[in-house]
Amino acid sequence: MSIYLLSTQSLLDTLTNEPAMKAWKATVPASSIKLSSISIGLALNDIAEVRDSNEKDELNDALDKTIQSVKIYDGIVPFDAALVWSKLMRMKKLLHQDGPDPIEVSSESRMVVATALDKGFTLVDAPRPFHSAIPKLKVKSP
Amino acid sequence: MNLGFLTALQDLPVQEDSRLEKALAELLLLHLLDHPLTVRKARDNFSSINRLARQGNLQIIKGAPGEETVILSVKDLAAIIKATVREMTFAEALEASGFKPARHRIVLTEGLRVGRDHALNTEKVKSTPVEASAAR
Repeated sequence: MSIYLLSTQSLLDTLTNEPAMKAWKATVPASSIKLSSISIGLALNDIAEVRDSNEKDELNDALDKTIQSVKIYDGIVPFDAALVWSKLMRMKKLLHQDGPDPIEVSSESRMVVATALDKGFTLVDAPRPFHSAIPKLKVKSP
Repeated sequence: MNLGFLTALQDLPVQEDSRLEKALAELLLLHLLDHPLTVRKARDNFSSINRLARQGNLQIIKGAPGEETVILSVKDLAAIIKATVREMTFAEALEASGFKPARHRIVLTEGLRVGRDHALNTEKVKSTPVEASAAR
């Protein structure tokens, strides 16, 4: 059975039931889902910047319930993949977005990817250019 | 607790109550050590029935379909819950937690943060002396 680590964007898309995530999460066992503590921190940080207090409350509540649902299966993964992360940090051209205005993957997202590589998890993420640049990275795009 | 029983629980049709009850009754009978008990037999032999239940042998007392009574230990009940909970989908687990989707979608800001992602900007950081950046 595959074990899935949600990328930070996949976690954020879970909170709002984006169509692709909504359909996918109905097909996978809850026990197969993992969340990186890094992604949780990033999500909390982004939610803190939402100005509308109602929307902020909704997002915080949805994140809290998502964490609860994963936590009962010991699905929260702390970051302890420093060695793999250091190798990813030395890789140039790890693109989150290509084209005329390319964007490199942030160091925080590399920590999430490093966790997936280190633990053998399948990263749940929308298709990104960097996926094919990392050997052995398993990706599921809902 | 019988592992085959616990594993089979995961395949029960949970979408409809009537189908679930029927399938569960069939499954219970299939894995029962002995025949279902009448109320009188259960009453007259309660000590031994209770002991068997404590040892992991579910006991069923006859009743109308869907109204049979099951005697089991808390330990076995916990095992049943664990077995069934483990097969919930992510969506079902979220629903059980009271999850309500938020309206405001957040798109993560990706990319390098110049001046913060030092390891990825080593050359840039090195070429910008602290005094020079402070003077700006």
